[in-house]
Amino acid sequence: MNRSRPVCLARWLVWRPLSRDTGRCVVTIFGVALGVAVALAIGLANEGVLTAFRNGLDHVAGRTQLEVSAGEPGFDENLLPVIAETPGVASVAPVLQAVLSVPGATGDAVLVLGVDVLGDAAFRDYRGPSPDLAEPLRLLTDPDAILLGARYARARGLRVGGAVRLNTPTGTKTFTVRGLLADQGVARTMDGHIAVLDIAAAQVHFGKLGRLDRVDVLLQPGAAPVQVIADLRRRLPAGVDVERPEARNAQVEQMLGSFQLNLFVLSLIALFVGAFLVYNTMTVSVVGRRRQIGILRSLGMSRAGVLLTVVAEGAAIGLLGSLLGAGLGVLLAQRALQAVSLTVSSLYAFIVPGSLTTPPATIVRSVLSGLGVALAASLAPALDATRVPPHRDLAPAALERRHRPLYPAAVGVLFLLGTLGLARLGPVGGRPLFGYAAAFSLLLGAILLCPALVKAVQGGLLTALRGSRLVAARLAVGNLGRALRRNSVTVAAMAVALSMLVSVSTMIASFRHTVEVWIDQTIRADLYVSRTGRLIKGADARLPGDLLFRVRGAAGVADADGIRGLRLRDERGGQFTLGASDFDLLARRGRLLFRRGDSDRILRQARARDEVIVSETYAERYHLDEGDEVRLRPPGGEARFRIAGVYYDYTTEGGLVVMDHRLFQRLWSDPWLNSIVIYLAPGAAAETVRQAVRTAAGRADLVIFSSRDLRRRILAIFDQTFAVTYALQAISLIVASLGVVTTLGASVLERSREIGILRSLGVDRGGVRRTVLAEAGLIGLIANVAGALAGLALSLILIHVINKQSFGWTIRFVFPGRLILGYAAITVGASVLAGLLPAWRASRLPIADAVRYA
Amino acid sequence: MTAPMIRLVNVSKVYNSAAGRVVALAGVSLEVAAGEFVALMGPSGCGKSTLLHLVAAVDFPTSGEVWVDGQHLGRLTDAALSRFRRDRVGTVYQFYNLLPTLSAWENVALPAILAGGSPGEARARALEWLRRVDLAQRAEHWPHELSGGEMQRIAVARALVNRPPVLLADEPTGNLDSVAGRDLLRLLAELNIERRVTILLATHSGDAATAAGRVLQLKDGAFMASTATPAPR
Repeated sequence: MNRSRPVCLARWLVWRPLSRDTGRCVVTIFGVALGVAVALAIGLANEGVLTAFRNGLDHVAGRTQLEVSAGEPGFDENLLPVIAETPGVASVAPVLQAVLSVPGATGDAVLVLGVDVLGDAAFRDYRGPSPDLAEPLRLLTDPDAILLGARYARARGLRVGGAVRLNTPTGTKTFTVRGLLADQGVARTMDGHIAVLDIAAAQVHFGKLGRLDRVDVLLQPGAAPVQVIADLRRRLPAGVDVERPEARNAQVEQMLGSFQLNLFVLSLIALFVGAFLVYNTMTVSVVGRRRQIGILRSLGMSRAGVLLTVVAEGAAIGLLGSLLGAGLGVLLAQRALQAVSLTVSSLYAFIVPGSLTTPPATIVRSVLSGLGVALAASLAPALDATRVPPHRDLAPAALERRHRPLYPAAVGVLFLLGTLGLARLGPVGGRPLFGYAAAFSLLLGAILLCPALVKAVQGGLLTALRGSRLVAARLAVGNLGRALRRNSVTVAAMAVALSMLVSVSTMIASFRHTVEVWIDQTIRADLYVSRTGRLIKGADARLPGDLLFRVRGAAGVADADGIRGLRLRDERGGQFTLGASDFDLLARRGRLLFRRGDSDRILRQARARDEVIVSETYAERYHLDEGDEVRLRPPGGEARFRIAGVYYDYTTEGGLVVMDHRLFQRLWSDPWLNSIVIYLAPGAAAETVRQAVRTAAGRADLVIFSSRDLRRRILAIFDQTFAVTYALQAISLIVASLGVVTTLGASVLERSREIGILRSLGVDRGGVRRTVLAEAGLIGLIANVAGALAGLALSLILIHVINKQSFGWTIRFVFPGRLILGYAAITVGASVLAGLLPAWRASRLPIADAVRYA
Repeated sequence: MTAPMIRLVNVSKVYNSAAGRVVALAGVSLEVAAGEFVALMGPSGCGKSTLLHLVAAVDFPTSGEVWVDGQHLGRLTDAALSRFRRDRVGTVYQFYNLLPTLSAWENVALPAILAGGSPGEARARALEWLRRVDLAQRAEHWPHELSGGEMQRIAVARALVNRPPVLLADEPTGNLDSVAGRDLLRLLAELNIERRVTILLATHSGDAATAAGRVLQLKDGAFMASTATPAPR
């Protein structure tokens, strides 16, 4: 017995009661664990994706201090000496860079760098088991020779001297592996999915003779970067940008940021609901042990001691839950990383995440956050416990402090009014911060209104059931009001989880419906031709322009339009896509959904007057309207174009400006296409034409979608994007259901005497079970009503404020009646299921023990 | 004569409940000398328990003063009251009020630890007290494994482990059979003499009252005149 006093007290007064009440503790610990795990998994996945993305850029940038680039079209290689001779520039390295897909394997791709193999080592680190940059002649003399990331080569079973095939814009090519790059420097990019070849060879393979994507610059010692940037900008033509490498990250990171912020906020829901669970459990624990707390107080324990005891109990639960959650989170993170990076690869930028890293700091942070949440949640019950008088005779009726629901309800209404105000405010730095605040305020308001709702429903039912012979129902309704606060907490926890579920589901269902309607109204062509690389975001998927003529010549093709999408950058470095299409054909046979005006008329007018159309996301991003002007920078000058119309588009992040193909050719004289849309001749069979087109095109790396394939593909990407979201929602709901178990458990505990009396008066076990189950069902039902109402309101904020400000898409609200009914069925069912154990326990209470007041 | 151990000066206690005003004590005055064993008798609801609560500082009078061991309870801070409850009085209840999650010796040792004692020392004292109440062999048992009489003797040991000058017993035999009840009263009487602990015993049983040196009858919140004898000795 040499234990110190605090340890002894903690063991006796915290650990013993906890271990006595294993069921409830395990449930709560599990709830906290789920909350922590989900938040940690998403946090780690987000970090992993961001690291993969940054590594991709940083390792490729190497020691580069400035970058000269001009978006996708690149610029003339004759600018290289202009750059090299600018004062302050020490050396320059020309670069061609493309993500090329690998034939046969969907989603497999490699980042290919075309560099000056003689001079590039000053910029980037190349090391390898076979350091072939040391003997660069092999690469120089053989245009099909490449160096391959050793990691990638290992994974694909490739060796030095072996062959690797890649889909290039000029066709599928076979390269010879001349060396492997060890997992250092450049080869750490994309988890080793990298290939290096000589720049002259790259120009040939990429179809970019005489052009460069980028020139990397090293500065002379002492040269001021700002000054050199200014000098370079003066010397270079419009459309060619100079910036530091890190500036390039910022743009994509901003887009990624919105996506990741949304995920992160969603991941916190489970933790938030977990906090409710701790609050609930601690309230239950305090209510259940008021008598013991009274005894402790009469034995001379101070209020501070009582506070400490209860908080310590909450902390113990929080710590155990958080530790378990951290372990679970790391396990989940691997899956989450895969899911998130898949979405990021198809929406934002091609990334290959390395193996999951679990920085200790992140883990510790998540454990601390779980602990903090548990501590905060147990503070209110702990303060309650300090108000327990040191009396011995606590009548059961006095077990719960009286609760007046009107005061919180009034505050709740204030929060709802605040929500209306916050929802009207604009974004902050492109982030819908006030939107999140509005959502939070709405939830707080709903939580605060829960007690009043429970009271109102209870009062109404009590009146309705007066004189009824449904004894179980009457007792259940009566009980609901007796422990108003605890029941309100459970209702609120479930309602919050449900409202988030309803709102996110409503948003997604509305979004999906909007996209479906949009597809059905705008997809008019019969076949869509593109390169396999098209399925990977950022991969080079260009097709030579002459392919269009060959396709037009194929049997059964009535009309074909070549679509070009050129990734350009605005003056501030922001990425957008410049599209080009035959507006005449589009007006005749296709259709776009314009915000205002008729598709046919707008397209003809744009073609006739050299105007452009822009996507809604572009208009939102640059705050433009019909009639405003778009400034673009074609090679050799700047040009302004009037916006003929703003149309809805749900496929392109960052926004689109589209012009007629003839205008585009005049200004950019770009010989490439990204896809070809085909309208069939009357009576032609799609499958036959598909074969004819494939033969006419004469290349293997084409995908030819029917309109139905395309629809399916778009919706598949859509569903995949929201897969993580669905998982997060389901977990929150599980945590909330655990709350019903703990609440009903407490209810039975508290009423054991009353149940005993009922039983001694002749109520049978079935009657007791029915009462407890009816109470469970009622809690579930009220939570559903509150959750559905709050959820629908929340979905409006999601659709019109958060989504609109984050991504700029217009989503038409669709009332998800069947969804809400489905959730109601599931959650009321879950509540009743959660009530089974307490109900069984209640019916098993030994009558004599229950009645003896001890 | 030394100052009384317990002194109530014109103490009233009124409860306001939904059913109306309930006068539990109506201007009661009382002096109990150190080492005295006083029994408070009277029917249910006469105010016995209320009086004990006031002396134990777990409840407070509506008016009047309560002095225990020279301290005016109405003037103590919350922290001082906690210390008072811990060190100056011990209480035994009808329903034992042992903590179900602590073993017999742990229940006895708890107040000693709360008072700042080391667990080792508290255990030694608890075991010594368990020997004194003839329950040394039950030290490791849980409350639910003990009989009512045993639980009550453990409650007595717990009440006295911090050596308070005052022991309050509220219907301690109310839940015991007659044999166990008599044993308990004998224990209280022995402790009264042996440790000179002042005992205030509330009971409605005449048998129980015989153990006391002085018996006071309480009815409707006031002492009945005939029994309000001054402190002897």
